[in-house]
Amino acid sequence: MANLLSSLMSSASALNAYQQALAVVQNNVANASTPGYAKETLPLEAMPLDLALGSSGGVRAGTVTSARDEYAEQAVRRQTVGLGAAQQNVNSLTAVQSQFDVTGTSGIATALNNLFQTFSAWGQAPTDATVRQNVIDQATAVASSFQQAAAGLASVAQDTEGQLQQTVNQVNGLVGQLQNYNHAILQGDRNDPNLDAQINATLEQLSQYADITVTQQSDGSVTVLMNGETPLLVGDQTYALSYALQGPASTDPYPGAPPSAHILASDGRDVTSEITTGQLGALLNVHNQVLPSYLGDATHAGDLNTMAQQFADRVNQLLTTGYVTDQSDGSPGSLPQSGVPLFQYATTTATASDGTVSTVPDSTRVAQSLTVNPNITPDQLAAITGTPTSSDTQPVTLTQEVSNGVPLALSNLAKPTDPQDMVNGITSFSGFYGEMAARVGSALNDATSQLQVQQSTVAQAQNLRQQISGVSLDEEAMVMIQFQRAYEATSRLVTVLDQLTQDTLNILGATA
Amino acid sequence: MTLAASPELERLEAARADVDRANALLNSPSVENVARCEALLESACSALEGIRSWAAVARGTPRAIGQAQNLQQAIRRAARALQIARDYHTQWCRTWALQTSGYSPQGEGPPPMRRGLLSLSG
Repeated sequence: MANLLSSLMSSASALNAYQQALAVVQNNVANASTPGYAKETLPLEAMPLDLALGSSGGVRAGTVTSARDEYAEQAVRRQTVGLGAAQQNVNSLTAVQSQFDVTGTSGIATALNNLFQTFSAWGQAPTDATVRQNVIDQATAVASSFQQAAAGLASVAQDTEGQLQQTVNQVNGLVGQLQNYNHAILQGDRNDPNLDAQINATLEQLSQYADITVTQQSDGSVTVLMNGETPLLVGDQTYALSYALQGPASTDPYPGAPPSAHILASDGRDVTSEITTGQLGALLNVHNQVLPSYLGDATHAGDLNTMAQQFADRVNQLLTTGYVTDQSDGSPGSLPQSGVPLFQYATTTATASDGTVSTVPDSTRVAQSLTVNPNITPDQLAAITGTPTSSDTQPVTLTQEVSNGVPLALSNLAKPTDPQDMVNGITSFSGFYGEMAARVGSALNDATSQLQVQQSTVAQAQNLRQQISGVSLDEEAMVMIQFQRAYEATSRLVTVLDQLTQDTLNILGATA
Repeated sequence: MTLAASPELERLEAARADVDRANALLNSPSVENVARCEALLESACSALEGIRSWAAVARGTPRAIGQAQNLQQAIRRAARALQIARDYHTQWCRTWALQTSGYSPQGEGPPPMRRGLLSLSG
């Protein structure tokens, strides 16, 4: 009777074990496409068989084992943070690049070109009122194109600020979800495979936004740090990030510059400089580095403003040192009048150390505020250089002493040889604009290329993660040796191939 | 100079196709796949070796330069993928060594301290 009972118990135990194993398999199948889910196995253990002691043998279920490997998970997250940065860089730089039309149909380059052509036409007909009106019209178009570029870039900055706030919210939201999972684990759910899957899916999502380090504590909860040092989650305690805009100090060289974006840890510490990758890092880079290179920040005016100011100043300088071709008041014997400035832009007041208050250019707002003097009339455009005297007839006759030098000097801005006609004394205005456009174009190309690489590497890391299973150590050692050999051979070939391609490009005459 | 389709240009395109195939294999870098990359990259090297004299004739041709630049980008993607896979496995190897603490006096590898081993066999 005892043996019969033992046999029945053994059968019941086996049935129970198989039922559990089947449940594990079913759970694996059901979760085959669940994000973050790792395959589980249920080892079956032999039970002791000793009929004398009533041990009936048979089989029982062991502990459910997850195939998750934290190392593989980290590898995926490490590549995902790079993918997040690359994707964000492509999106943001595409928006920046769209502000620089290089097709020759609109934008600053086209407006400048049209104005240079009008200067040239004015040089050929310095007294022609229609041509002079054209000069004013084309100058207005140049001013508008600078305004549009500045407004477009400012709009990108504003969008980036919105995205930064949204990204910080998303990070905090995901950390909040992880806090709930940790709470459940601390309540005793640490072996729940679905919870495990949710945690890893959430961590992978979080890694798009910032570089996170994850460690599993002995109590089963996960600790999440950003950049290895800023805590986001410890146990069931979250540490929320916050986002703030900070304008330049009044003592900075450009106190009127646009604000920079900052990320603050929960204790108020500014962690902006630590965030260099992920979507958050890319957004900060675009907002605090890329856009200020055009629009300025606390320490520099920005290239777009520099170009706008130097162009306006040079045109105004040439016009105001010349003389108009006919006398406006018509009184005989009076000297021809000096020209008036064509362009104007925002100014501000500055107080010197001795207390003297003066008006100075608002250097970080020049492009956005550049306009043509609204009161200027065509006959106030000065064409004449030289030294006219009261004996000169009116309208002034162009002689050896007085010539149409101003339009000619303005025409020279198109292809300058005089450093005064160049931006910072080095590059022509058109060339400088081209460099600005090329800079963002090149950055976008790099980002696009980087995105392709990161998409491949994330796919690769995910594939490597899929390879996880229990195997013998001997097999692993053997495979490792095979890998070493394959990597070395392939790496050598890649190096040779890269060199061969570079040689071919050199022979073909490709420029870098 | 315009350049009609030529055998050399086709060889350049074929080299690019070989490197692209290697890149696809490196997305899942098992031992077998990495080894298969060798043959593809050797084929690409041979193709490039054979067009050096032609490259001087085709100097300045946008289409040839474009093809060569595309090839260069593909090679750099392959280099990156290979480097990451190599780093992954090297690091894994270190982790594995730390976990197993070497071999037992009987020459057997002790069981890993952590559950869930990583299979490198793909």
